[in-house]
Amino acid sequence: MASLESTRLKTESRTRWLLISPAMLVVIIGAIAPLLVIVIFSFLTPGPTGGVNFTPSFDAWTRVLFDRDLFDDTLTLSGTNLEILLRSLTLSLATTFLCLLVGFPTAYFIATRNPLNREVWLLLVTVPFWTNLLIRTFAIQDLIRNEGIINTLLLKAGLISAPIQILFTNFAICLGLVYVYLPLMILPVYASLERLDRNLLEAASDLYARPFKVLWEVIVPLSKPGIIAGSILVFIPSIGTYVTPILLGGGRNLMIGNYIELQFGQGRDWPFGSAISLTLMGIVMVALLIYIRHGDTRGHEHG
Amino acid sequence: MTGEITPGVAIRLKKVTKTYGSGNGTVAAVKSTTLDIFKNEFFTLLGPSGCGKTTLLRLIGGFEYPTTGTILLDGQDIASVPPFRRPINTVFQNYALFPHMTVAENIGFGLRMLKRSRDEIAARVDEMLKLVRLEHLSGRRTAQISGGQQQRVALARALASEPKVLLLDESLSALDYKLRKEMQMELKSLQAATGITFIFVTHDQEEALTMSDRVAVLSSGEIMQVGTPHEVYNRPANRFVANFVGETNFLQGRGLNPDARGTMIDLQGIGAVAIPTKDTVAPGALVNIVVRPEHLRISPLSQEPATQLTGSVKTVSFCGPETQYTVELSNGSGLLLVRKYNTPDENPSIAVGDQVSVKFTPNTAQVLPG
Ligand SMILES: Nc1ncnc2c1ncn2[C@@H]1O[C@H](COP(=O)(O)OP(=O)(O)O)[C@@H](O)[C@H]1O
Ligand SMILES: [Mg+2]
Repeated sequence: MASLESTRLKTESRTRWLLISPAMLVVIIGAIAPLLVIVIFSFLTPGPTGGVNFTPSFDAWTRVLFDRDLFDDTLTLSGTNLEILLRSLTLSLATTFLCLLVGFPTAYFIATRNPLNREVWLLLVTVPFWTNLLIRTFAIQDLIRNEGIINTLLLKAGLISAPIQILFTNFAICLGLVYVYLPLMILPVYASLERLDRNLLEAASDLYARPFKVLWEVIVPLSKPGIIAGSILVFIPSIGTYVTPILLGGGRNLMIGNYIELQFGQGRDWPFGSAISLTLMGIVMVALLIYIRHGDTRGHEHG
Repeated sequence: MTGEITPGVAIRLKKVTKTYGSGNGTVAAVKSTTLDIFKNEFFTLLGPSGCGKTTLLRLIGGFEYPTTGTILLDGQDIASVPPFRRPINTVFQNYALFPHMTVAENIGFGLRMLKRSRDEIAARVDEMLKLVRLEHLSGRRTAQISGGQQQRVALARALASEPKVLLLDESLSALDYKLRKEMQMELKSLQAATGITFIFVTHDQEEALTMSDRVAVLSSGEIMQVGTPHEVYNRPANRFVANFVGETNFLQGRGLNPDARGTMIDLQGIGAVAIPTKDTVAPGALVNIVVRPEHLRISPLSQEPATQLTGSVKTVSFCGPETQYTVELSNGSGLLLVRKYNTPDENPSIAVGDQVSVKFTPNTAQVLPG
């Protein structure tokens, strides 16, 4: 009996491994192997025309935070690198926050329409995805440049006397990122709002909660899974974004994605590029951990 | 606000109507309803599904606004006051407990919204937990407790802020039979202990009769009768009430000239019977005689010819304390339901197919217009 049972379990587990092996293979080839390559590269020295020399070194990692003085080899905190890291973090956090600020009401609006209209609104939210990202970004460029529609209208209306510089600012990058990633916030938040039991809102209102309190005490805590998912979906791609800072930041306001590209391209410093890539990954992971942990405890104590 | 204080009246509905939708697809969920609900009363809205009970309750709770008419709470017009400003709380049919809060946090929610002090809230929550006997569960999430316990949390939550009126929408329907019986008693004693006006909605007539001080029977958005359970059961105002509240036999009859014994009815198959009535019955008018199954006496057919109904037994069902018989009347006027209390030593002496006679005492019967 027992041996029969254990043979059955053995076959079962063998079948299970066989079944998931294709997926495992994809994960190994597609994710783990490239990551390993990058980790190894980050501990080597740059080759003369790109690529790497197989001489182990911590130099790339040191340079993530420090500048090495050309003459006496002393290390000073690297202003540029820190600025780029900080700007990336600030811009992507701001983008996430703005997406939430705009996306939550939008998702709430859609979730409270009747089912037929909901589908139309959801379709409309995804419409921007149908157009290429580059074209959409160029369109924004055209809207906000000094001779663009916005400045022209404001000038004509007499609200300003000289065009406002919007293009090539951090604000322009943020605007572009919010525009691009907003649907990624709206959709998961909508999904959790749509499942919200309307009775709970009435119960809160019945128990003396004013509309704002209903929102803060019931709707927001219960849609937290959607808010967390949406924030992650917006934060990760926006911190590593590449196209938007180039087109809307004008190359002056680099973000970490552009900096990485620079190392692998013109800079010909693959180890340094690898080290910054891994730094970016580290930042994202730490941010996520803090965010999810914080969101969780908040939910428990607030209840 | 129109002041109109009538002592003893908690809720007054004046010609309240509620129509859903607009254009062609309108539904008159509540037709012109006028009703007083007294302070410290256990009042029940009873009616079949779709008759407008929930709508009436939601109007009182403030979740719907009346199409026309006024709703007064302690003499103040509250028809357009939002729910969060009404000292009226609701126990929702599905409980609607906040899943992200513990039992204690649920119970304290209303007080927290009323900005009471932490100490006061904590003390009151403890008091409520004791009242519904859930002290040991105060830290649990609402998903981790049973249906009956959720029910009691919902009750405690609604009572914590000491509302003037408590609304309960089919609150016990989701519970199994035994638990429901238990909660009925518990609700009733809670109402007596707190002195809060309870407005209870149910489609279960037995529940309504057991628990209420007064019952309003509703049909398609209209109140058919308001009265004590006793009045509604024993003196139904019309055929709908007679039929909906308890099981009933209807016998066809025709008015005769009244004599010294009172109103005389010519009962099909029996002849002239004197039945006490409130209103006079015109001679020749068609009437329904309402007789409850437990007021009928069944016995094997004897040879006495006098005033009795005869028929043959169609079904016999033993229900524990009683046995129910259906009897096909030999005068062709249909089936009679008869209920007979069982005694432990008695063997059922009447079987399917037996010829029986069925009698009733005239003053247990009720005359309704035909
Ligand atoms: N929100 C609504 N919109 C349209 N019709 C409704 C709505 N709510 C209830 N009704 C209709 O009003 C009538 C009464 O409903 P309800 O008050 O829920 O009855 P009950 O609680 O007695 O079952 C029903 O015909 C129902 O279909
Ligand atoms: Mg209902």
